Amino acid sequence: MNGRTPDGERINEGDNEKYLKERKKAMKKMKAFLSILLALSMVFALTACGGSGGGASAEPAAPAGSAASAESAAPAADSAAPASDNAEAEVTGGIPDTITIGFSGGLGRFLAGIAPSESFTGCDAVFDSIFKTDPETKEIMSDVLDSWGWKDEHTFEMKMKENIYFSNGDNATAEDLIFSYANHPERGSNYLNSFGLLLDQCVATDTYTAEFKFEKPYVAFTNTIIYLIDKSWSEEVGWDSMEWYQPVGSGPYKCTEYVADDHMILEARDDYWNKDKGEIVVKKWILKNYADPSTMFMDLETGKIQMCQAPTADYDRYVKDGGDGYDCVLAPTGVVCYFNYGFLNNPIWQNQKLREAIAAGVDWAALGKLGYGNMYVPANSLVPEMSKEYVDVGQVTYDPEHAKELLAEAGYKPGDLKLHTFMMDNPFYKDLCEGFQFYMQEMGIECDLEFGDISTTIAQWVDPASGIDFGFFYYVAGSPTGMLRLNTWNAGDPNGVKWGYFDDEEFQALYTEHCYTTDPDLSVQRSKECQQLVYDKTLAVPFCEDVKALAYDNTIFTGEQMLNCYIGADNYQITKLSFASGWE
Amino acid sequence: MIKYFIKRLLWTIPVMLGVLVVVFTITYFTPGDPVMTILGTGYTPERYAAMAHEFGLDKGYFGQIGSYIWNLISQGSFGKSFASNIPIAQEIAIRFPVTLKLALLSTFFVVIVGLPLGILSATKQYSAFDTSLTAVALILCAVPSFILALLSLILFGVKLRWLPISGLDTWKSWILPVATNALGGIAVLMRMTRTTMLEVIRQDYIRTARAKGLKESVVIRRHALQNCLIPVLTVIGSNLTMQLAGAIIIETIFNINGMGMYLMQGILARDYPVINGTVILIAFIVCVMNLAVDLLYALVDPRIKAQYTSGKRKAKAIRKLRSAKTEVE
Repeated sequence: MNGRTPDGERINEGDNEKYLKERKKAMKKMKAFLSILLALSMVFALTACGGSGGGASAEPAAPAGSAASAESAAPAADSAAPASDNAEAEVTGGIPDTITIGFSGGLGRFLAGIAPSESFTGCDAVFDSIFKTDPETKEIMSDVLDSWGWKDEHTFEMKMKENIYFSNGDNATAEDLIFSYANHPERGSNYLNSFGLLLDQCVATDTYTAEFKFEKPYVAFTNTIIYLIDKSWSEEVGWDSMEWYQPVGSGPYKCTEYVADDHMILEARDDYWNKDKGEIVVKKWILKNYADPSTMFMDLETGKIQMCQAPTADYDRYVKDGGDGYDCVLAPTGVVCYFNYGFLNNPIWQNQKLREAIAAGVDWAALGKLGYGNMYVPANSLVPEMSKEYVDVGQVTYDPEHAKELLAEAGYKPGDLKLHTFMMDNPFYKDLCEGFQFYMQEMGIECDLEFGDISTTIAQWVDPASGIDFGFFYYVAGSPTGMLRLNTWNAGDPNGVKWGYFDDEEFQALYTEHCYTTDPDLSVQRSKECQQLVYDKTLAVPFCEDVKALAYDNTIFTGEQMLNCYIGADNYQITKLSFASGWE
Repeated sequence: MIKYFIKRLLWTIPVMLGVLVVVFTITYFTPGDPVMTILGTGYTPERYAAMAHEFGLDKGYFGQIGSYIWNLISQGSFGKSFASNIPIAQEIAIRFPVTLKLALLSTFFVVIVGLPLGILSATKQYSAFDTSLTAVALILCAVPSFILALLSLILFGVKLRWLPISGLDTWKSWILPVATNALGGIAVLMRMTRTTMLEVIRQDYIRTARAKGLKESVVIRRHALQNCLIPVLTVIGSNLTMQLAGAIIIETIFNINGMGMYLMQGILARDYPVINGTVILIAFIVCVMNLAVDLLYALVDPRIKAQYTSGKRKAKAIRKLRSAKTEVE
C-alpha cells in the first residue's frame, strides 16, 4: 500500500509498516507528555488559587490579634489597640489628596429612604446630618443644631445654627429642617413610619427653631440619620430630576461626577460654611462600586483603592497569611444576628416548650461560625456588648438530648413538624439556614428552605400567606449605639416583616415603653428588661454579633482611624477623615 | 441581493416584537414586585398604589405591554429605569459601546489566533503540535470562563502586578478581559477550523491543485481556506453575537459597566424597562448579526450568491451563456 505522510511525502509499501510502528511510538510518547502537561496545569491552577498572599508584611501577631479581637467585639470597638499595636506597617503616606473607597452593594444615591438605598457615605459628605452618631464616642451629635431636646411628651424642639449655607448659596432655615423630615413619606420612604411624627403639626417657631410634634415620644428619633435638604431647591427640581445625582447640600463636599453603578466623585467645597472644623485636607473622595467583592479586594491589595469592607473569605485569608500593604480590623456594627420564630405565620410558636426545644437543639456557636467564619463574635443578648443597654442574660446551651425531651413535652414527636422559610439567596443566609436544617433533622423536624433574590424575598416576607415559620435577622444598616429598637426593627411591627414580630404581650408592653419615652434612662431600663424577657421566654435566640472586617491601606490609615469613621454596612462617616482632626 | 437584504431587515421588526412579547410575559409572571423592591417593607397601601400607577404597573398585562410598545413606536422611548429614574436609552448609549468594543476586540483575537491555529492543526494532523493544541482547546472549552478570569486576575493582577484588576481606564486594562473573553472562542474556532479544513484538504480538487505543482501555502490559502469558511463564519458570527449580548461574567469579574451587567441588575431588581430595553437591543443585534453572516456567506461562496440573484439577472446570465454556446457551435 502506498500512501503519504501528513506532510504530503510519499511513502513506499515496504516502509509503511515501519512507518506506522514509529508513528505509534511517537503517539505514546506524546500522550505521556500531554498527561504530564495536563497534570502540571491543574497543579498550577490549584496553587494559583491558594497559597500565600504575596509576602506578608504584617507580623503573625497582627492576624492573630485581629482573630483574637473577633472573640470579643468590645476590644475592637473600644480601642483599636489590639489591631493597631500588632505591628501594622508604619503609616508613611501622609494625608492623601484623594481617597478611593470600594463598595460592593451598589453605589447608592442621594435620596434617602427608598431603594436603591442611599449612599450613606456619599450623603455624609454632601449633606449635613441633622443627627448622627459619632462612631468614636458613640454620642449623638449634630452638624446643624445648636441645641435639641424634648419640650414635653409630644414636642421635640430643635434650634439650628444660623450660618448654614447650601452649595447654591441658600441659607438653611427651620423650614428646611422640617422639610428634611416631611419629604420622606411624600417620596414613599418608610423612615418615619415608626416615629409617630405628626408632620402637619410640625412648625417653625422662628427662622431657625422648629418644633416637631409626636403622637408619643420616639426614643430612636435622634438615632436615625436624616440629612438637611434645601426645600426650595428640592421643590424647584422635583424628586424625579436627574439633578439628584449631583444634589445641592450643605456638606463639605459636592458630587461632581456620578456614573450609575460605577463610581461617584466627591470634591471638597471651598465655600463650605463650617469653618470651625478647619481646612478640608482630603480634597477628593471616589466611591467606587464593584459587582464582585473579590475583585474589589484585589484592587485593595494592588493599591487601586484604599479602603473597603473585606469579604469573609478574603478576611479569612488575611488572618491566615497577613496582608501586603494592607491590614484588616474588625468593626462591630452595633447589631446582633438572631433567630426569629415566625409567630404571626404559625401558631405553633405560642408553645414555649417548643421554642425552648428548638433553642436547645441547635449549636448556635457552630452556626455563628458557619455564617461569620473568623469574624464570629458570640452574642449573649439582643444587643451587642458595646451597647450601654447590654445585659448578659445568659446563654442558650446546646443539648440535643434535652431538646428532644422538650420537644416531647411540647407534644410533638419526631416527624410531626415541618418548618418552612424563604431567605435571600446569598451564601450567608444559605449557610445559616442549611446549618439550622441539619440540627432540625437531628431532632426529627423537617425543614423546607427556599431562597430568592431581593425582590422575590421581600414580597414573600410581607405576604401573610407566605408561611414563613422562621428566619434569621440582623439590622443591615447597623446601630452605632447598639440600641435595642434598631436591633429589632421588626419586633414591634405586625404589619412589616411578618416573621419578625415578637408576639408576646409582656414583651410588647416593655418594648413600647423602651421605644416611646423621653426618658433615656427609662428607655435603657426597659431595653434590659426586654432582653431578659426574650431569654426567659425564648422569644428569639441571638447568637452572633454582627461584625465587619474593614480592609485598608496601612501606609495611609491606622486601624483606629477605620474604626472611628465606620458606622456599619458599607457606611463610612468620611467627614471624620476629611479634616485635619481626623489625622492627628 | 438588495431585495434580500431589505426583506431580512424588515423581518427584524416582527422578530424584535416577538422577543419583546415573550420576555415581557415571562417577567410579568415571574414572582417579585418592583414597587415592593423600591419601597421596602414599611410602605402604606396608598404609597404603593401611587408608585404602581406612576410606573404603569396598575394596568393589566395587555395594558402594560400595549403602553410600552406604543411608547416605543410613537416616541422611540424605552422608558426610564424604575430604580434609578435614568432613561434606558441614555444608559444603553453609555454601556453598549463598552460591550461593543470588548466584543469586537475579543472576536478579532478569536479570529487572528483561532483561525491560523486551526489551519496549522489540520495541515499537521497527528503531529505533536496538533495533539497539544487539541488538548489545550479541550481544556479551554471545559474550564468555565469565570475560573479563567479569576485565575488570570490572581496571577497577572495580584501576584505579578503586571496588569490592572478592574475597569477599562488604560489600554492595559483591556488585556485580561479581552483575553479571557476570547479564549473560549479561540478554542471553539480552532476546533471547527481544523475539522472543516481536514474535510476540505482531502477533496480531489486539493489533490489536483497539489498535482499542478502549487505551493502548499497557496493550496491552503486559495483553495482550501475559502471552502472551509462557511461553518467558520457561523462560529465567528455566533461568538460575536453572544458577546454583544453582554458577557455578564466577564463584566462582573472585571467590573466593566457593560450591557451584561445592566441586564443582570435589571433582572434582579425587576426593573422591567431595563429588561425590555436591553432585550430589544439584543434581539436587534442577533438579527443584524445573522443577516451579516448570511451576506458574508454570499461573499465567500458564489454558489450561495447565485441563490440571492434575482430572476431577471439569472435569465440574463442564462441568455448570455446560451449565446456564447451558440457562437461556439
